Amino acid sequence: MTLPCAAPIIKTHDLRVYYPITRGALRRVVGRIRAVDGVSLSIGAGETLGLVGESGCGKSTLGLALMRLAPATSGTAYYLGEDPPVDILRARGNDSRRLRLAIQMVFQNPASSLNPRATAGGSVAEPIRLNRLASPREVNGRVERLLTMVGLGAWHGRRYPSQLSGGQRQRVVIARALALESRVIIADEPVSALDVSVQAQILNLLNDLKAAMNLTYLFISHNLDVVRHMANRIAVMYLGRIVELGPADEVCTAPRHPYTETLLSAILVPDIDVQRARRRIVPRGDVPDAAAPHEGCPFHTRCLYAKPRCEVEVPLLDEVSPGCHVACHLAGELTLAGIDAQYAPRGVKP
Amino acid sequence: MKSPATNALEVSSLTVEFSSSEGSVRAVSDVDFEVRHGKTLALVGESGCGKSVTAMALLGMLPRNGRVVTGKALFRRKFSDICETDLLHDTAATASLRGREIAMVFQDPTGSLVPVYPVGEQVAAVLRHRAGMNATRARARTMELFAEVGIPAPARRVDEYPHQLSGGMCQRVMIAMAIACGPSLLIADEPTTALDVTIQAQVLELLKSMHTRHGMSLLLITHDMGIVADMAVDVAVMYLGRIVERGPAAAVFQDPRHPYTRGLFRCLPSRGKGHGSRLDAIPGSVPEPHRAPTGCPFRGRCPEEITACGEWPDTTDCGGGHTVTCWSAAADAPGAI
Repeated sequence: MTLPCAAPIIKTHDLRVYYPITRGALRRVVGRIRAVDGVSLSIGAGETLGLVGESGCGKSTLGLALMRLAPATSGTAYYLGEDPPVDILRARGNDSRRLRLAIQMVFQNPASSLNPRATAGGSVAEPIRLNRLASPREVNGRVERLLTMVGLGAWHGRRYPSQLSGGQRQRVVIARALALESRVIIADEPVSALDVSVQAQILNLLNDLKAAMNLTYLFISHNLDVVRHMANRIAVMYLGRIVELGPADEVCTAPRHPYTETLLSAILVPDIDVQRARRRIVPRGDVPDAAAPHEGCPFHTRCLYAKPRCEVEVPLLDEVSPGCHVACHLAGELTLAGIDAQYAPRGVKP
Repeated sequence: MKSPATNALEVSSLTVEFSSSEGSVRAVSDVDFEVRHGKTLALVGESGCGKSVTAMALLGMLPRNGRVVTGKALFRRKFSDICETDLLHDTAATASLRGREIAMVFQDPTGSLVPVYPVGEQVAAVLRHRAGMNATRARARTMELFAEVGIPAPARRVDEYPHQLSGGMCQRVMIAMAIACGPSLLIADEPTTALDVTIQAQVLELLKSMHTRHGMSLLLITHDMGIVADMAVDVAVMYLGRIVERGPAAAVFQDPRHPYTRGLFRCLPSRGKGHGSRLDAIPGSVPEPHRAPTGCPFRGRCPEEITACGEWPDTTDCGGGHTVTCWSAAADAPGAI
């Protein structure tokens, strides 16, 4: 397992992305949605960093900001995979070309992230052509190799997205992301739109490709089961902030933030005896509006353990033990429940 | 196996066809199941297996190109064995049961509410038309229902529009609407798929409490084995329009007999052998209905395929109401030929 101190390939400091809320014909700015609100994070070369959180917590926006598809309001983000490092937020010209070659993205819904009027092979070939990575004669061979790598045949390259199944389409999207031989792949909910039986195939494929090509993943998902399976470290986001960050198994079995405990307790274990014996922590209310001003800890309105201090003072993300970071005033005082240590699969004959 | 009066719903040999450009397509073939009074039956399967079509057929809500070819669906009110209604053929009686005795909760809560009316008015409309209340009483009852399903500040929320509510709140409104007339059977089609995990936990708790407090029977349609483990007493696993395995949830989870059911369990990350290990994925993907193989529908993806699979397998009784429709499971069963 990659230790948290492995050489970082991406590093952000106090990264903020605020979306303006405009009103009226003059598009007067009346407020700001704080989608990403001060994220400092490093992703180690060769690791899979899992980013979990509920909808609206800013996990996708963070991914988009690293791809420069969402404009950052303040803070810094660097790509450290090359010498000299590239400033992600301010890269121009050749630097921005280097970035595009280095970091690629896989989106959630393969049906909408492929051009319906281009063949699968055409979609994979496009980035190679645009970046002149191969001579026109070599392009086809390269596309074929990429399709083979993701488990498709050359004939799939001649099909249109509508003629492929959901799993095959996601394989095409992955082949396209790999076409530039990028070192970092940002995967935003790559299996959420797929059926469970196909989901397992794609997760296996992502792990195989990572091992074969020494890739680094930022794996964004709302599904803690999937993230735990994939990630070396997990970052838990809530209302634009990272509230807990640590090795995947530690975050899942011994969470330190009450929000992580809530998320873990909401997991439904596909085993009757285990699931019915579990205690479910049902949090109060909904996630607060990211546009409304809030004071203190972002989670205090729903937290079971909130103290008066939590309503006024924002907790900082502190390292409480080597590699384990948590943003909670009560960290160290609380004993929180995680999911039970990996339980043995039962009743499934080999 | 059970005396019929204990069943709220008994579906037998339900077959539904759709006419399409590729000719007629069987979405549901020869499906049998029953929902016991006050119990939860989970209908499990992946997309395209026909689970939602089954629910729509029961409520007479099939789209225009769909039709019920054969089958019977007997609905029985609690404590009255005399009053039986066949939902598939007795259209007029079914129409009067809908909303009163049988209610439905859909997958996408924001899409199932009318965007241009306040949510309270939509629930009150059900009460006025179905329970014959006047406007004032219906509004008062709506507020009570909102409080019951855990919507904070009901007096304010009744006048809000769907877009002003979060997904979880809209689903609570849908549940309030469904339980408005005290139905004895609730059909919930993927009720939490569109919701976040913590909100899913809230909605499942709510469904459970409605279920125990009102003694409702629940037909729960889902693809999530975790939800089944949490909620169901009985399970029916569907694949390509057929039920391949059914029985008490405890038996099916303890000892899944059909290769597809086993595959569904094995491919889950939480059942994996830990971080980064390979998951036992089911190869291939669900074929389109008009490309379904002859014989067993799981043929081609099944690791235990034998020659006999070219023909439709018999249903084997594994005891205790647990049945499986598979040749190789039949060969394993005690007392097999």
